Amino acid sequence: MPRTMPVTLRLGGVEVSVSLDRVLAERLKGSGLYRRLVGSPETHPIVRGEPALNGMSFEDIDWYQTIDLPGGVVTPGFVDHREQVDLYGLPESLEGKRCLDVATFDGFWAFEMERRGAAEVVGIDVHSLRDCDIPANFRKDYEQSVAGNVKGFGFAYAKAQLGSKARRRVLSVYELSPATIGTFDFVFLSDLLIHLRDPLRALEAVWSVTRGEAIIAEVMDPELESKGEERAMRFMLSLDEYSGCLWWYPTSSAWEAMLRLARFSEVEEVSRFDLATRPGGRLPKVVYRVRGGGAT
Amino acid sequence: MTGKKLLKAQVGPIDLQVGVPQVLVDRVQGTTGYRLVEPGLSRAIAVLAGRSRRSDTTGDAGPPRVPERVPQPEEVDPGARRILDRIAPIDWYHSIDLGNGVSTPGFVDHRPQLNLYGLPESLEGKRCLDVATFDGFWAFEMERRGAAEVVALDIGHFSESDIPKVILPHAVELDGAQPTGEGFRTAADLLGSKVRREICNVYDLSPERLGTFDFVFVSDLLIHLRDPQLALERAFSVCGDRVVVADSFEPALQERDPHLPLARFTGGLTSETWWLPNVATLHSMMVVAGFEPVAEVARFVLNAASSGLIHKVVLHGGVPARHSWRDQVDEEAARRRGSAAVSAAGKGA
Repeated sequence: MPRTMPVTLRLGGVEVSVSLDRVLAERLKGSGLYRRLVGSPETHPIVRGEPALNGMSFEDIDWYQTIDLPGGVVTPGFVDHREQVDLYGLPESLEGKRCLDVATFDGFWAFEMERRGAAEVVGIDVHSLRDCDIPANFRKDYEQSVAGNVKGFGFAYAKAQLGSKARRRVLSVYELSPATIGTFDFVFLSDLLIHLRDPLRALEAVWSVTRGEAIIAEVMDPELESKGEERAMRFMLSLDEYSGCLWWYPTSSAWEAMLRLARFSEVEEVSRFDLATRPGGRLPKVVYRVRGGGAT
Repeated sequence: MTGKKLLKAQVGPIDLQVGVPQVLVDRVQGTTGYRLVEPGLSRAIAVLAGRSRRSDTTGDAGPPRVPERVPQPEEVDPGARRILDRIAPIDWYHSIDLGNGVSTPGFVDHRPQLNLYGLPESLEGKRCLDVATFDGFWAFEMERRGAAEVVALDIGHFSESDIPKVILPHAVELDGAQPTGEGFRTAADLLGSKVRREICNVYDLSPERLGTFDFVFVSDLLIHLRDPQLALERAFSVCGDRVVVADSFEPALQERDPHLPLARFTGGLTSETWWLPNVATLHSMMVVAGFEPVAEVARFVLNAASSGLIHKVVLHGGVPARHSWRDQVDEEAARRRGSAAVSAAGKGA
């Protein structure tokens, strides 16, 4: 039997212990949904950054974001940003702007930027959960559990339904550079850094492609925040089959310090609120507006 | 790397508190690079360079150098004088006994606290690794305990350490072309040591590059790394039996909740310290890296010429006899070789 994760994860007051053992992996593999999601290169080749749907239906997709699709269809996402979009301080108009959505997932924010008039929207994401920051020691077992769990079906499906021109590209945040993808007038990054082993390296990479403004929105640790621990962060380590690994929960002061250290200037807090998740979870978030350093 | 001087500087729109290593402060004096650096920074360094750490501890004015502390020639036997002449030009991080009653005047003196690290009395026949060796104190100690082979790891230049991008240009300028290791080479020569010094960043450690080791020693390094978890993963990848991880911890976070893995982000600008964890965090990171079991051996205040107290914890980690991930890798390799070595890979299960 592969080892199980010895670490529990606390989300707000809820304690979740996730173990990845063979039983779970086998159960996953036995399900029809799994087989359809397996997304082997033969059945779902990646074409221009998107996995070909090839018959995958709305129900087959494990939705992360809640997105309004034509005909009153709403995707059953784990998170629902729709009521809280205003709290992120996006510019009313992004007309003429080249925009980047870092870790786009189902594309909610990419489509939102397009709606605001962006001239071009690029959403980047990793190919599959195997490409997340997984501790080397657990990688083998984890990869078995999430074998072939290709990302991007939601994006491809929603994009087709919405007739969107947003472009998806398979690229890790660590690989962002003016050479790989160019620079952007506006960059949006939300709910990603807590899943990275080296969030600072990611921020440095984001900085390098941000020639204008960026919105950085992340979860913070509610307990440390309320105790006023300066620049503190909690080592979370928890694996799941949804988002890879959860590494660190910082306080807002730690986020701010990291943003400044990554060379972002004009760091300004936009808002704080609880992100609602299904089922009934609440994640305290903080949103920053910053200015990047990518060459114009 | 804790002998640091604080200075404030402005880089672009950001106010910085920069910890400049005493080693570097001393080294840059008189170099052309020193005069070329950004004026504000060089002025600040000049101010700091006028105050040595020894004057901090004794209250003396001026920067006493090693030669000034050398006793008069007639008091010293020729052997000792020869050693003193060799060590005088070097700014020492470690206090090391070099015989003839001479020790290097290091920033940190581990000698009275050696027993707290729980090193095996004998390392006979063992292949040992000292990660981030600096002047080599721990490498020489492992050799003294009978190690069959000791490999001492260090980076080639100070500027190759994890330095925040925001001050990297200054650090590179200050560093110049001066390589690390002068202290190590001098001490190794005087001790007649056979320790092999390898220029290799801890992040690049792998069994392919340096093989595996029975005993791995990682002390006073992790807090200076932006990605300490990766460093521990790499250490694990070359560790065959036992690791000693010793590093600073933050007492306030320790008191907050000794069971909650917490760390404080300090950002690499002060004393090149990126994080100050509590003990639970170091423990958790070792477990995540694969070490098992992990046990605390000691806590103490480091015997160093530091202005503040450096609280240190020593943890020992084992490597499970049968390790699923590692065995799987072994089995895969065996399969690729087309051999039936699978049973050998599973020995000790």
